[in-house]
Amino acid sequence: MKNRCYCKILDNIEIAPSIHKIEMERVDGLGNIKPGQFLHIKCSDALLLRRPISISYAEKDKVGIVVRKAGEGTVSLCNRKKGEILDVLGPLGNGFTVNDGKRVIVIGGGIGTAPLLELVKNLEEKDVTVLVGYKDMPYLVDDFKKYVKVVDVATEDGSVGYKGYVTDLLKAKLENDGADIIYSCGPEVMLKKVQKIAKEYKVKVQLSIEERMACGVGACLVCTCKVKSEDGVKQVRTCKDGPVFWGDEVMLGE
Amino acid sequence: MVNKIDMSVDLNGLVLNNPVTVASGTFGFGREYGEYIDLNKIGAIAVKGLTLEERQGNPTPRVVETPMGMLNSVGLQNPGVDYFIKEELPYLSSYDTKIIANINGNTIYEYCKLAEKLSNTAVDALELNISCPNVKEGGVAFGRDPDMVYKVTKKVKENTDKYLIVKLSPNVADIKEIGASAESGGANCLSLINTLIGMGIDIEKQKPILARGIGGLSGPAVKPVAVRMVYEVSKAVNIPIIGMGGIMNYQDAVEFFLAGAWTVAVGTANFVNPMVSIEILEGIEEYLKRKGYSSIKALVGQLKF
Ligand SMILES: Cc1cc2nc3c(=O)[nH]c(=O)nc-3n(C[C@H](O)[C@H](O)[C@H](O)COP(=O)(O)OP(=O)(O)OC[C@H]3O[C@@H](n4cnc5c(N)ncnc54)[C@H](O)[C@@H]3O)c2cc1C
Ligand SMILES: Cc1cc2nc3c(=O)[nH]c(=O)nc-3n(C[C@H](O)[C@H](O)[C@H](O)COP(=O)(O)O)c2cc1C
Ligand code: FES
Repeated sequence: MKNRCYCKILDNIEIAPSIHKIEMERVDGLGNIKPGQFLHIKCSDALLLRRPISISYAEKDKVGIVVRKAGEGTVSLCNRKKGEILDVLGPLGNGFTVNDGKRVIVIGGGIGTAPLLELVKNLEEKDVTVLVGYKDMPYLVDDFKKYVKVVDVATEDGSVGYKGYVTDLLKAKLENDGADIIYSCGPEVMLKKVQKIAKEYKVKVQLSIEERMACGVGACLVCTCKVKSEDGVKQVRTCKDGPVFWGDEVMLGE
Repeated sequence: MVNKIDMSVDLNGLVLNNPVTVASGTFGFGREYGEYIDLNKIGAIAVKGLTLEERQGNPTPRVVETPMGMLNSVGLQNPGVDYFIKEELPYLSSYDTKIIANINGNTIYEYCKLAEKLSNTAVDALELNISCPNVKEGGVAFGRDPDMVYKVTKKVKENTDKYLIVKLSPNVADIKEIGASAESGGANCLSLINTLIGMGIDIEKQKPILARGIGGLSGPAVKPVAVRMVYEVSKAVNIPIIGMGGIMNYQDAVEFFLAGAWTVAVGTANFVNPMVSIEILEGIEEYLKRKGYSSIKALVGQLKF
């Protein structure tokens, strides 16, 4: 049976302004972890609901998450200290499908780069290009470089790498080299562009999307999103049926 | 010290192994939480609100966290009653727990149709939801008018042999009156409370956070209201009550029993801790032992004034 897990925080460091990397003990209860899955974390006793946070990387004895201070929940999570215990449900969600195609593009934006790290680790023996975009200060770039040679960075203000949107890099890469599959996670505007570009170039794409959640396990139906299916448009659960969807099916912000 | 505690409850015809159930809409059709707990161990499962046709529900965002509570505006998304009977009920029936089908109509006719369709199935009881705040028609509009409550209860009762629970809305001036109407209409049992209508506003965008604007408030924030209402209604009617609203632990549940509930339902707390219903059941048992009760029945309505 699945269980609620209690994981000790092994480390918590600020890797960029308002971005924390938190490493916790990988207790047995967490079981197998697929790239793209998330944890549902009780961030503070003062808040009722849990918060969904992607698993950024998983090792034999530890699990890492990367958290952006967005509001009360994530701020208190980032303030948790080494040695404290986190109340965690997971791993939850479906995760990325990793056996498709040889030439792979992994494209992330902002905090959406976090779950892509575990994905990239699982793409050994493939020809992988990582494209990551940030507003200003990049993070996790060196972590990606441990697993892949090509990591191209874009920043909106041009402080590091290409000046502009990471989706510009995607277009250029597809124009020059093509790809068999694209994996992406990031803000909705970016995912929409990625979805459109993938369609233009006829490349399969998987998108990891966000929706506000309550239960995280598929019981409450507050987190639904729309997907196209054979019998029309269907409402499915982002937490259980996603958060990863095929780009030609999921309807973003509609 | 008493050793063996009788945890079974006879709700005047519907017998539960124990008094801890889960609230409609917070437990899906059982499958998801079946991965975390043994469903045989809870007294009953009230399934997600059913309608005649499949419903897509409201647009997202459908949830807002509030101080010790949450607002939801799911809007009765469900696959429809026929799908439920065919695809979900067999799974639930394989467990030794009672199944309560929560039904929702736009008209009295629809409630009756739903009751008819469920009459020859393995469902143990029907729960008439006349209190959903998240749909335009039916729902809470029914639950506010004592005459309508009487009529819809009576009509449904005529169309089914199933045990009938009527679920009351807290969004009324006098809940005693509504409870009494349901009783005279033929309800076997009452359940309360459904969610309180609320709203959350994003002050940066100066817009409501929920796509639909308003939603139903649940969780610890509503408990005092719920306990008061269970207390009031239990004095006004002679049928059993299933109490719910903000139950997070056994202490909360005990409050409801003392106020007059025969059985409790756990809702929002499941989202926080999937194992909570079992923990609450164990807590109640220990409490009864500690206080020297030999059965859960003995605790009901024992509030001392
Ligand atoms: C599958 C999934 C994976 C995620 N992975 C990460 C990650 O790895 N790192 C990270 O920093 N963030 C991640 N997020 C976003 C993160 O969950 C939100 O930033 C966080 O819930 C905000 O909570 P808060 O209390 O800090 O903010 P508030 O704005 O105060 O939150 C209020 C409510 O809104 C909800 N909410 C607000 N923003 C979001 C959002 N973008 N997505 C979902 N719910 C939201 C909260 O859960 C909460 O219920 C992920 C979201 C999802 C759905
Ligand atoms: C997400 C959600 C969905 C709900 N859906 C239904 C429903 O379909 N039918 C119903 O009668 N009540 C529904 N309810 C109300 C609950 O069954 C319960 O009455 C209420 O949440 C109060 O209990 P709680 O505070 O323990 O959650 C829903 C509540 C929530 C939070
Ligand atoms: S968050 Fe409850 S169903 Fe997805």
